[in-house]
Order: sequence, then structure tokens, then C-alpha cells
Amino acid sequence: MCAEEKSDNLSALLKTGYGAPPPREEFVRDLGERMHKEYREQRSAPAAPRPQRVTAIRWSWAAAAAAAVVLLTAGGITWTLTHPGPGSQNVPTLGGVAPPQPSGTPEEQLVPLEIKLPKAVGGPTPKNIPASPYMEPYSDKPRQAFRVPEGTTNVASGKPVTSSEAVPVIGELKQITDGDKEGVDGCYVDLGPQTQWVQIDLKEPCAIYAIVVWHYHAEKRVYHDMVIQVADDPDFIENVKTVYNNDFDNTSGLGIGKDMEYIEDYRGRLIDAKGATGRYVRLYSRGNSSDDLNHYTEVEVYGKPVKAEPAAPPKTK
Amino acid sequence: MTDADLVRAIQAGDATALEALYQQHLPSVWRYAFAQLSGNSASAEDVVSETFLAAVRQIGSLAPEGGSVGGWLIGIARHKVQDLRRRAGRMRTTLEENLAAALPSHEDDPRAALEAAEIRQCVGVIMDGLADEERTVLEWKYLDDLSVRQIAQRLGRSEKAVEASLYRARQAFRAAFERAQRAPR
Repeated sequence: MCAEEKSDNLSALLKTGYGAPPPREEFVRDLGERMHKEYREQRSAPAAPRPQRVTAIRWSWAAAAAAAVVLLTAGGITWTLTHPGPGSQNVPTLGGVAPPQPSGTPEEQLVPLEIKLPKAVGGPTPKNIPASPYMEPYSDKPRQAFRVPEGTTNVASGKPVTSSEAVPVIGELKQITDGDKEGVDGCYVDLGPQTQWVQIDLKEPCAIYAIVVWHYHAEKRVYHDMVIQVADDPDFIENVKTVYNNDFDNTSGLGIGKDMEYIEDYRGRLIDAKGATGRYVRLYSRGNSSDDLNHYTEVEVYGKPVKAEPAAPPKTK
Repeated sequence: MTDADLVRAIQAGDATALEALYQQHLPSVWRYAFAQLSGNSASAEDVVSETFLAAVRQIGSLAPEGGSVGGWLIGIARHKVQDLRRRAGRMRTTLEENLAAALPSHEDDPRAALEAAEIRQCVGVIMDGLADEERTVLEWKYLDDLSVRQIAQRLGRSEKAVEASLYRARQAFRAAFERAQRAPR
């Protein structure tokens, strides 16, 4: 039977290739009970207050007082919104704030992040990259300085890397944190097609302010469905934070992202990680505009180790 | 009830919604683990248990409209499978393992067993590579024998949208399967 005939009989093919006998009834019942027990325990535990991000303020002219001042505190910064009152020709003003960069660390002294860039080797933007509402236009202007707390270093340097592929098609995983980010053969790792990831173990929990990633940049191209997450555990179950996601149609199943796709070049991509804490950093991608493969040349994670919370003393009677 | 409704209800403390979500997604997570672990039922049970228990712990922070719950569960299961393989010192299932799983049901016909093993190997990889919705609608339609209307109710979509999704899923599966069959081995 040829490939077309086989694939036409989809139902039989799936039953043969993906069917499974039902799980044991005892197992299903036992797991159900364990889930409910876990659920009850979760529900009875006191809920930790969850930080809320202010995304919009709705103001009613009719309900406003003659003049009003609203104080908003977010990320340690107090914003003052002054409303001039109904009938006034003046517009509401926003002021009295500290610079918002980088997020979450306004009280510390900030210094410009110095990133050593590789040699620019990418040619002109190829014509096979169509304009897209999900892609930001390419600009060769120098990147604006990004400020980080003093003492921030590349905590990923030389740290172990694992990936969705045990063995890369090309290169070795340790090249991703070896500091060599040149856009030439021998400096990148090829992980094959479909959604793939690389994961860096920072060896200790860190507050992460910026992540800089270089995919293959000897040619200008767009890597798709790029998602970057930070977590406390290597399986990305505990305290998972997504710091970048441009998977606008949720192809990789990690949620719909609102970040933009971009054209790769020697400057890499700097991502504001907003002080996210975690020990593991994972970067996903799903092919690129030139082929369906996934490449990584270098990943730098700029942050500072954070001290673990001391263990609670044992309870005494 | 759609997945988003179930998640909202679970977050609000409705234990029956948790049971409904478990019953709805268990077949899919079980099949995924079974396929990825070459039919090793004991390992598949471990993966499925760890997946659902981790899901219960995390569901409080899941955005109900943030994407497919089935995809989220398979994402957890994928990590658990990789973790199990990492502990076993390897990252992929082999044809030999699939062959060992296929042989008992094809005792008299080793060639049929080999073909079944090859198909399992190939289809497992293809299903893992499909987008979540594509994989889900194929499973519900062809393995769980749900009607388009039932799939539409589960997904909270129109029947037309489900038909379109099924069409795309069939096309994606067919293209991947034919590519895999033609690839040099």
C-alpha cells in the first residue's frame, strides 16, 4: 500500500498508530480520588495574595469630584494621576514617577547593560520574509541602552544546557552558553524541525532582568513561535513565568503570545524579563522563515542570584 | 460545558467540574503517554498520574480563555514523558520497543508486527507535532467517535468551525505522514 492510500484511511491508521487500550478502571478511580484529595488540600490552604497589574483606568467625568488625585502603586513606583475636574479645559496629567525601566527594581541603582556583540554578517533582508501584522519592521538603528541593577551579570555563562533533542543535529548544546555568538558555521546548534526548546540550568534561583538570544544570524530570518519561560523546576511545572511569547496563534500550545516576531541579526534579541525569578530558563521556537529547523547560537541571561527563603522551623508542641 | 467554563468552575471550588475535566481529557492524555512510551502501560500510568496531579496544583493560575486545556495537559504530559526518559537515560522511543509492544498481537506474522510498529512510531511522532487543536479534533473524531456537534460543544465553537478545523487537521496529518513514509530510512 502506498503512502497516499495509507493516509487516506485515516481512521484505521489512527487506531493502529495512536490507539491505546483503555486504562485500568482501578487506576482511573484511584487517580480520580488522589486528584480530589489534592484539590481539597489546595482549596483549604490559605491563598497567597496574587499581584495584580493595572491595565486600564476608567474615569467617569460625571462622577468625578471637582478635582481629584489618584495614587497608583505598581512595581514599587507611585504614579500620580491628577484630574482637573469636570468643566476644566485642562487634561488629566500623569506624573511624579520614576523611570519604569527595568520593571520591578526601581529602588536599586541602575546601570546600562553592556552586551558584547558579534560581528555583523547578515546580508539584506531576504524577500521570502513577507510583511506581517505580527512582525515588527526591521530597523538597523542601534538598540537603546537597557538599564539593569548594578552587579547584574550573565548568570547563564558556562551553565549546562539541555534540550528537546537529546543530541542536536549540528553542534553541541554547551555552545549555547559558551560566549561564542559569531554568526558563522561551527558556532550554532541545530535542533531539527517542529517545536523545539533549549533549557539552561542557572544552578541557583536568580532574579532575571534581561535575556538576550541569538538564533542563526548569518542570514536575516524570522524564528517562529518563540516563547521564553522561567521556572523553579526543570519540568516547568512550578512557578512558571512566560517572559516572551510571539506565538500569536498558539501553534506550540503554550498560550497565545502578544509579543512581536522580529528579523534576526547580529544584535540578538533583548528581552526584558522584568526581574522574574527562577532557576531554569527555557526557550522554545518552531522553525524559521528560511526552513523548518531551529537554531541557537548563544543565550545570555542577565541577572543576580537570589537567596532562597530559609526553611520554616519545625513545629513544636 | 466548554473547557473555559470548567476551568472557571474548578477555580470557584466546584469539584464536579474537576471530575468532568478529568473524564473529558483522560483518554487523550492516556493515549499520548501510551503512544510516547511504546505501549508501556505502567510508565504511562505514572506519566498520567503526575500530569493530572500537577494540573490540579496549577489550575488556579490557569487563564480560562488562555488556550486549549487539552493542549496544556499534553504540555505537562510531554514534560513528564521527557523527565521519565531522562531518568532512563534516553530521549526517544525506539522501533525495537514499539516492535516488542506490537509482537504479542501479531504472533504469527512478524512482518505485520513490524509494519504496525513502524506505523506506531511514525504516527506517535506526527501526532506529537500537530497543533493542539488539530490533534484533539482528530482524536475526538476518529478514536473517540464523537460527532462534529459533540466536538463543537466541547470546544465552544460552531460546527462549521470544527469542520474547518478537522479539514486542516486531516491535511496536516496526511502531509506529515506522506513525508515520513517517503523519507529515506
